[in-house]
Amino acid sequence: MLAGAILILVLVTAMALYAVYRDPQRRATVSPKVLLLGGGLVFPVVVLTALLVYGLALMGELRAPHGTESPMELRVVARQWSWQVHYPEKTSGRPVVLENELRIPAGRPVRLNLVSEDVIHSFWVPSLAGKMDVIPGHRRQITIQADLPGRLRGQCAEFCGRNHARMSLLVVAESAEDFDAWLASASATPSAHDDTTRATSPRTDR
Amino acid sequence: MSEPADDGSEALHERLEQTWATPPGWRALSGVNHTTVGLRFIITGFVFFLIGGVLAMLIRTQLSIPQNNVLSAGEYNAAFTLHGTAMMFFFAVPIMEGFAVYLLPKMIGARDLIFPRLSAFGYWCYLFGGILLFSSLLFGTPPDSGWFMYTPLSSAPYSGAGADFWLLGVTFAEISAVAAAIELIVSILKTRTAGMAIHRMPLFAWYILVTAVMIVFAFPPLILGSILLELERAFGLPFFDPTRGGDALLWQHLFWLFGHPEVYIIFLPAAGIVSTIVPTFARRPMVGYSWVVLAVIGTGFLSFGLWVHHMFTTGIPLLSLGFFAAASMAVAIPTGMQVFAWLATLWSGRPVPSVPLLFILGFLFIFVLGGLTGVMVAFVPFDWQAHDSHFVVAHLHYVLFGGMVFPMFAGLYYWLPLMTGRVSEATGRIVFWLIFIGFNLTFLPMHLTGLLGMPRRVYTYDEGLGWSTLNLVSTLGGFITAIGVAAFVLDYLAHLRYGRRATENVWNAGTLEWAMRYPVPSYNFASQPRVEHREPLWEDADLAQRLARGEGFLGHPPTSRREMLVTDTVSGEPEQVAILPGNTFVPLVAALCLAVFFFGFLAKLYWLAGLGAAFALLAFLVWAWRGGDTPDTERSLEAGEGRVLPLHHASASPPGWWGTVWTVYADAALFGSLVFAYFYLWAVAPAWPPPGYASIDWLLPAAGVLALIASSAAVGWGASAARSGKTAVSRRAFGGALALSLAFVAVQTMLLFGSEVSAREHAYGAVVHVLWGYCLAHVAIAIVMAAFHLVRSNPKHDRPVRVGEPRIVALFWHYSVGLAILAFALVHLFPLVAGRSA
Repeated sequence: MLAGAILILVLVTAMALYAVYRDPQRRATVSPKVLLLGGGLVFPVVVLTALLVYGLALMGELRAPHGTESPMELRVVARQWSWQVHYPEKTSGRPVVLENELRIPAGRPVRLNLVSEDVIHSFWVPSLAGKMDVIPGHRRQITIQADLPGRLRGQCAEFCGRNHARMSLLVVAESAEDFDAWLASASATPSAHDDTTRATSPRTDR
Repeated sequence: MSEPADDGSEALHERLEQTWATPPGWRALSGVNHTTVGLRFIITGFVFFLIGGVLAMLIRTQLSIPQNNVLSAGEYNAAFTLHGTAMMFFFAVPIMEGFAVYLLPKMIGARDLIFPRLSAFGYWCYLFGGILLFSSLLFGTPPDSGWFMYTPLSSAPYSGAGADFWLLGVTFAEISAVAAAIELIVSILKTRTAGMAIHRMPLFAWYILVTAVMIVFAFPPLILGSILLELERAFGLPFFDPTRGGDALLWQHLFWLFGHPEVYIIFLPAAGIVSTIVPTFARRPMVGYSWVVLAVIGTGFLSFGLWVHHMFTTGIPLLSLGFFAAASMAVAIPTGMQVFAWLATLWSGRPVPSVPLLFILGFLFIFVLGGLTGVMVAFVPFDWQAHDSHFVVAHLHYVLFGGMVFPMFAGLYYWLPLMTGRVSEATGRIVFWLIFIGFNLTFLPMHLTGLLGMPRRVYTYDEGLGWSTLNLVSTLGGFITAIGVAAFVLDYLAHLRYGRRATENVWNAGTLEWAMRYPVPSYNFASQPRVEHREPLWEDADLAQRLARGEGFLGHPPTSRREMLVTDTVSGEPEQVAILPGNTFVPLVAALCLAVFFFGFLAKLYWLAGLGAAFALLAFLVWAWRGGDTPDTERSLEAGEGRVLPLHHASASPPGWWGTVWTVYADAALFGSLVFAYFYLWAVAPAWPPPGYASIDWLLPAAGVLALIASSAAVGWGASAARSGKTAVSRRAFGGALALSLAFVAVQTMLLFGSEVSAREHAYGAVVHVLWGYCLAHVAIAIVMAAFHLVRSNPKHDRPVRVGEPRIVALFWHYSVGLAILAFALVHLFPLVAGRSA
């Protein structure tokens, strides 16, 4: 797409400069109608149709479920100006809630159920997927998958008020074993309050 | 240039100038002439461009290095909100309207726009709206919820008075846009000079016609959205509050239903400038006139089907994404066609390099690049990443700055001789290169910044994310652009003194605005031409001289009366002579009263708001009264070519009738947006009416609507009696209609203030109340109009009979009754059909 765009830009600019600055006596003659209908009608119709078909196909693929494995379900709550990640409650143990951090197992699809407590936010981890807006009063889902362990950065992408710029999210993808071990220990930690299970948030200056 | 005095043209010039000129000193505030008003729009728009530019420099300074603290988070949010608002609503649209108001009558051989007081009124609304918005800075509460004002961030719990300043200030300015649009449409359709058939009118007029029609249908959704949001903020009617049955996405739909056509409303007039300048310097007519006209109309239609592409990431279904992606790509086709029409014109002509043409070449490069990235973001999977990142910031500036600001500068240099009688050449090139290099340096790297993950609207960022160098380069480019704009201002001031005096038709152009002396006289043409070609000045070398000697139409005007031809929409053959109103303070007073209304609303002094509205109504009545109240008993005059034409008040279809038709279209778009909101809220509700609500009893409201339908019949009868000269019968019929409509007013008032359905508990009650109020307000206006007509047609006063007036009243009356019937069906019948499942 980029190469095509550059090519079109260079061609159009070159044609304009040629038309204006080349001596009219020595300029190649082109039928104006051919130029108008060829460049202005036939060419864009062909290119855009191809692009649209490709885009629609790709769109379905990207939003379709990843593989056959059933995804892990997490609840993500967005609010001014932080992210809360709720892990599913086990029959025993404490609920696990992380603030501004999303821990996921690598190599496995994770479905995030996104809800907002106040205004519109948008969930965006550029390396994992496109954006999904988080809208109060609506339920939104996005399925992500980190193929390899690592630490990634996410950030709220819909303007949400004063500290919109500070509403970032650390994504930690771990091997399945490490992740299970972490989740087990987090939910087993005896604690009177959720706060102790929270990881240190990447930034807390509100 | 000045003619020798002996052919009588000087005497004619002086007589016309006396009648048409805007008075000097403070009385200039009463000026209604389109040249005066157009210049006011252009200059004020440019001032807002400079203010928006200063805000942009603040933004770029803050982002120049990571963790910068020139602006706080709150200040940054206010800066980008005001930057976007100033550029979109107070610069781009109004300055393009200014160009149209200033140029259009000159290009179509007319002496003024058809409703001069309306243009003056529009200007004052725009100015006061801008002052209102920016006065928020004095109170320390600038709007900071973004120029797109997404709910619920802009709703009462999450934002302060800044949002009210935004909603009221912008709505005030939008009134101006709609007023100017109606004015321009009727002027283009009805006041082209003799012989300028629709296929001969300059392309610029086509562009402005399509733009103005788009404004009539695109601005009402935002006006409605603003009204609903202000009602929610001020009185707690929950349209957008999800906890009370509202929906935050409703705002986005209404906003982008306006917002996408808006992009083309900004671009098309600029493209019209390009299509005017390119043929002049290519020394040949535009290639593919009909194709370009089709492309412009096509763009206008398609632009209404694109709004969802601003909402690709809101999680709406893939099927609708596919539809809007297709429409978004399709709009590239008519745009591409115009680009190739310009290329083909240049290629097959003998182009003469010049400063305006240089800006056009810069425009082509930047705009095509912006168009290509536009196709990229219409590609949905790409948009899911690029959306709301700095990539989109770069894209939109390429489209808008490239698509509109470069043609604007081209136009300013091109038409400079009309305004000042001088040209500026050498220094204009420096201005061009500074802005061109600065612009690309700012925004080309910004594509990459966005692809590297930098979101929009962040007041700062951390080091080590790969964004720092790119941002510094963008800031540097921003300042070079600013220097370029400053150089333009200096160049403009310097040329007033040092610029070369322009010769007659200095660029050798073909369109009629160059048939004038410089600087242009207030009346434009000493007599109106007969036109037989698209480029009259290329076909008819001494046209300008003949017109100056008064050898065209209306070349022997009496003093103290402004006369202008009104012609047939298609053929351009003369039909009537309009007597235009002279300078008056009424538009200024009306706009000031409206300003009091808006200010009272803002300050929550509702008695003051009511007072402002009442006085505004009074001012409009004075306006209407004076409009047709010329003392002339004359019914027709000899206009030229031996033709005797009726004066407009002796015609059954005077210009005012056309103006009312287009006002009704704009109002219907407003009502249509309300109907859209109603169905949208129904679609998201679990049941309709929502659980816990009983259907509203429909018997009494039905009686009210029946009385109204009867009144419509009476009005129709009255209007046709008036047409056949039976004044007494007509007056009785109008009186009967008034009495019948009062029954409806009584019922509707009871519903509005006494219904058991609360307006505040649920969006259902809120939207129902707005529908009731909407109809009540319209029927009330219709009643005032009918009463006005009864007073004025009173035979005791011996005023000349105005044939068009009962028709105008009847038109608005029937329309208001139609609204009431529709609203009745929606409120009282639809829930019976929609039932309890949705």
